[in-house]
Amino acid sequence: MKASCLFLLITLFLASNSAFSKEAPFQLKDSAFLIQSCGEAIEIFASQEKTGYLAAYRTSLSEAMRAGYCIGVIEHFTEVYVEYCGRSSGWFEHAKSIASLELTQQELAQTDAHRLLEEYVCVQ
Amino acid sequence: MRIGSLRNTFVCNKGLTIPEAIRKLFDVNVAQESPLLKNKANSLVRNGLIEVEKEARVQRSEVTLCPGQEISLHNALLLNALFPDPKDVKRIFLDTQFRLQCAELAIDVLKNRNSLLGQAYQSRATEDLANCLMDPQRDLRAEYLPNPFSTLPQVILGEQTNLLHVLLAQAASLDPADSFLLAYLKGDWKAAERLSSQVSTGSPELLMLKSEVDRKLAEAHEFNNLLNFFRKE
Repeated sequence: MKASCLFLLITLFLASNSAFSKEAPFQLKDSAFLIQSCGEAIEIFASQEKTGYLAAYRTSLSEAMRAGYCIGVIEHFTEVYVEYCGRSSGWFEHAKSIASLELTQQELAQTDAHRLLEEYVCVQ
Repeated sequence: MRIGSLRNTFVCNKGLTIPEAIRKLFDVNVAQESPLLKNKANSLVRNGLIEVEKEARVQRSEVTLCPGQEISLHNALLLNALFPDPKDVKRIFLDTQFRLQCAELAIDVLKNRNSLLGQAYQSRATEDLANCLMDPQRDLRAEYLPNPFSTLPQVILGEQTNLLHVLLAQAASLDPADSFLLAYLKGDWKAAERLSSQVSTGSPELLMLKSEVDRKLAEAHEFNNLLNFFRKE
């Protein structure tokens, strides 16, 4: 219940971003978006490792926001499902495994984001 | 009565005196502001570039410009801002080859200045002046050269220095403000940060650039801190 409330809030927040208006409405279930977001997050931290504070100049606003979305979703998921999944090893490792997924269009259509999280955040 | 009869003997109508002409052309009062400019004008008269009428008077003779000489005086003094020797100025009027050489020099120092900030704020008239000099069809005696100076450099710089020296010295060393602007435009933030810390005073444009760079840097450091915060386990 708590989870769905927060998800609703995030949904409303992101829905107000006009950048998404031309695409399909934002959906939590969208696994492709989660994978892309986590890829973004990994990339930003890799860039930070390489260039320090200059990472800011290599990151666009949308990249940063998507990365934040990935981090938020994973953190929230591990928090809510801690009894089911066990103690998390931190969002970064989870984001890495989600980002490294290479799914076909069909697989993406069949897998919703929650499934991804269950599979790749709960394995540890 | 006597003066009236003397006047009748002159061929050309009475023109302006040289100080009057300079005041009209450049809005400079030579007696108070720049005896140098008056001396230069007199040199240009002596070497024959500017034609004058001398009216014999009892007290002292009055020198006035011949008709049409105002344009020549204007252009000659403008060129004199760049080429301090009146001989050179005269030669620009007479020798097309030399005029082109001087035009190139003028383009080098006025147009292709190393100062990026300077170029951004460069007046249109500078370009027009260089182009006029480059085109031998434009008659220096019939057409006013565009004046890129708000005040003639001779008036500001005085006898010891001339504009060419000032500009050459400026061109010889790349302005620190330019490396700063360049670093910013190239996205070289390490360099921009270093150069920004060296800037404390300067033109309003430079200070605007500094505050923009500092703002971006602060933003980047804040972002970096946020990343560190997320990575903390």
